[in-house]
Amino acid sequence: MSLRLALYVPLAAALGLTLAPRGVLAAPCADLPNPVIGIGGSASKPLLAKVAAALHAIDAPIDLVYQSPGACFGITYFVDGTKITGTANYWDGDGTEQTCDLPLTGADPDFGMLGVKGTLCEGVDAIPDGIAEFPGPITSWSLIASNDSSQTNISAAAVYFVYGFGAALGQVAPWTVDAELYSRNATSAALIAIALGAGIPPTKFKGIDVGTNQAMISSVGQSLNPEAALGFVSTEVADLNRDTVHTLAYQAPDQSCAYWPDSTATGFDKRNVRDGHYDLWSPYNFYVPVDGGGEITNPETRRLIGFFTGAEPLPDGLPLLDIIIDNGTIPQCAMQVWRDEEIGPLYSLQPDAPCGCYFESRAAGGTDCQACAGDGDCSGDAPVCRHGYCEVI
Amino acid sequence: MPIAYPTVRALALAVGFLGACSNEQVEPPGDDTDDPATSATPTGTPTATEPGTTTTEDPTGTSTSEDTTTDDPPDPITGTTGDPAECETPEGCWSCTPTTHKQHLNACTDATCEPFPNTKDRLPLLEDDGTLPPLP
Repeated sequence: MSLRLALYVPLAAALGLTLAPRGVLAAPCADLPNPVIGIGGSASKPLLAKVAAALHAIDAPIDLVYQSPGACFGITYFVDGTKITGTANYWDGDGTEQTCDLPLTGADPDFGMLGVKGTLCEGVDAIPDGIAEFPGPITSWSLIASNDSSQTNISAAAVYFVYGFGAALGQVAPWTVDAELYSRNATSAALIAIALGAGIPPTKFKGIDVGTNQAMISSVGQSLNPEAALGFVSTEVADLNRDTVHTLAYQAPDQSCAYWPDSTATGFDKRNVRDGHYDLWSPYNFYVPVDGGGEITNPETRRLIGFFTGAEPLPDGLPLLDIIIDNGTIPQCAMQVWRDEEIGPLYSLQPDAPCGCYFESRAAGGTDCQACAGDGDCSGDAPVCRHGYCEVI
Repeated sequence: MPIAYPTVRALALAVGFLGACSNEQVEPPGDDTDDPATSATPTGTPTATEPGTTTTEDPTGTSTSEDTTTDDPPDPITGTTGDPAECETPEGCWSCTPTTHKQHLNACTDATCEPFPNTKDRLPLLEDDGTLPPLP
């Protein structure tokens, strides 16, 4: 066992064990009818919870089991070839979260899920042979301030000073109080992405490690010194907590103005993520064991991941596009830009079957696109009817 | 450079003045040709000497692009060649089809934005030449 893993495993076990109430034995995860076990970050857990509930309604239901000790655990277990232990979560058909016990001897994860590329995790030099990466829905990352703070924007250079030097040493008012600089550890996808954006090595990122997304919301949102408080979470978590925190507009290097993920500070259209104005975004990546031909070895995992990638037709009962949008994440078909490196150069993207109009209508409650019942209702620059709206192809 | 399409340029500038641009700029993936001067690399330390990060309250005219050429054929949508003289509005946004990382970040849009002043007043540890010092 590597030194890094020696550090990770006890932490993972400790985190897993905290999922079950003390003194209460959970049922074995292996007793679920058709378990598919994943591990990774907490940012993706709300999305997986919604998907897991819907998976009970399809033919040949899948019991999605997930342990969320931190994003980088979604790849490190495959790199080190170890087994996951402790407890994990699964969800009933109504979305109720349940807890189950993994085998004392450990279980092999069927997939890992993290919001950055696995090679950015400490100690992961390359994705191992036999493991493939499949990009999933897109998330963005939000630097957040309390709703009692007057701050509305921040730049990559400001992040460099605040999180690279520490609040007091960085001298960027009003974020100059070390006790109000909230952070995560270097296994957090949010930390890695924001660190990349600012040019800070993740291991040098300063701030108080609050451990979870929800603790981050609480720390920033309930700060007694709100003007000085700064933190970060995935944007979907920030959106769910707009009653206490707000996302700061972000100005990337090479950018002349700071933008929110949405086209306005109060919107939900994610337009600036989708068209490249908001730089802090990443696809969730699935890491899955594959055979020599690149096919996912576990047939149930192949189905699950295939639903996300389009390799498997969506079954009745699994409205995955709606689930992704309603979660605050972005389906690839709604993106107009893409990147091949984490927080790397952007290039234009034309999805094979775009869904930007439908995304806007569902996420933001309206769109300027023309509604349609079939291609006959569409013309000109948007001749194809998809999901009820005329799209370009 | 001679302005080959004055009418289109005037229209582009007018659009820029309004802070609005079409989002119809789409092209196949894999065509990004950012050069090192304008690319954002995952491990690169941002430099505050870049035009986009040294703005004060007004981003006008701070966005320049070094990686476009004047020999390209006109853009089929805008009718421009990608020449900064044609594509950059006085407000500093990119009114032509974006083809580089920097152009995507600064493409004209009607989205709300607020410039963050990367100045010594706001970032006291900036070097005198506007660059970022090494981390402690």
